[in-house]
Amino acid sequence: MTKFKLKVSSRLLNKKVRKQNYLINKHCRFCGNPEQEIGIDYKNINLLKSFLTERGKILPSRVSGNCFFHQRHLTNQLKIARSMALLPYCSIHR
Amino acid sequence: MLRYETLILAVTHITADELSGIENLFEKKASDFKGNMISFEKWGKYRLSYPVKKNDYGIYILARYEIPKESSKKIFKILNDFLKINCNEIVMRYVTIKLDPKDTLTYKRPEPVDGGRSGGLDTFLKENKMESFLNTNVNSSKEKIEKEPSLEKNKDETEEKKETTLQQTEKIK
Repeated sequence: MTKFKLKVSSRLLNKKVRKQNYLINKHCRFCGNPEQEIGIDYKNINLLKSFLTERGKILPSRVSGNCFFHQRHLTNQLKIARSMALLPYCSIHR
Repeated sequence: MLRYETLILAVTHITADELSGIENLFEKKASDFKGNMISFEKWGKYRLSYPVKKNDYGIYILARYEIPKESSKKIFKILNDFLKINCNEIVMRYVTIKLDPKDTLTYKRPEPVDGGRSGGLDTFLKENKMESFLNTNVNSSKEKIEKEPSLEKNKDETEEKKETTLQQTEKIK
């Protein structure tokens, strides 16, 4: 019996590389950064806007890369800002 | 002592008396229960992200105060009743939030609609290094002003000419 080597397609290889890069870049921007951590406030709209989609939905931590603790803190502040009409619930209001 | 802040969303046509009335109540209730007022700020006019009570624009007011822990319930009941019942037509929404006494009192707020560019068009051009536009605008406006009296002079001249012609025709007759 001769040893048979499995063929690996280029598509699968690219997928593997993409996954590795994605995992390396994922990190919470607030952990170990106290200056930015104070900025998570319902009055600081410019920061909170970066965690919304075009439609006004909250970005998941899977995409934004936040840790569990900061994601909870951020969503609570976002919901307060929404209730005070500082941020939209969705983009179809107007 | 606990530190709190309330953000009030009011209508744009709020008068100065009504605003001072809200401020006085906050100060009075804080001082009555052995607390103290830290700050009372009016942010300015803002475009709301969605219409509230059929209003597209609103004014935000931020009040910060320190009160003892035991009397916090009594104060909040009085403040809520005042904002809900007495200021029903003025105040659209409000929220009270507990602050951490260790944190700093500085905060970032969004830019208002009217107070963002205080200087108007001239300062905006200077800030963005577009002074060439500024000079041309000034010169063109001056030229227009100079042109207007010259036209009036021409009109007078034409009237004088007409008069002279009329006199000449009368003489001929």
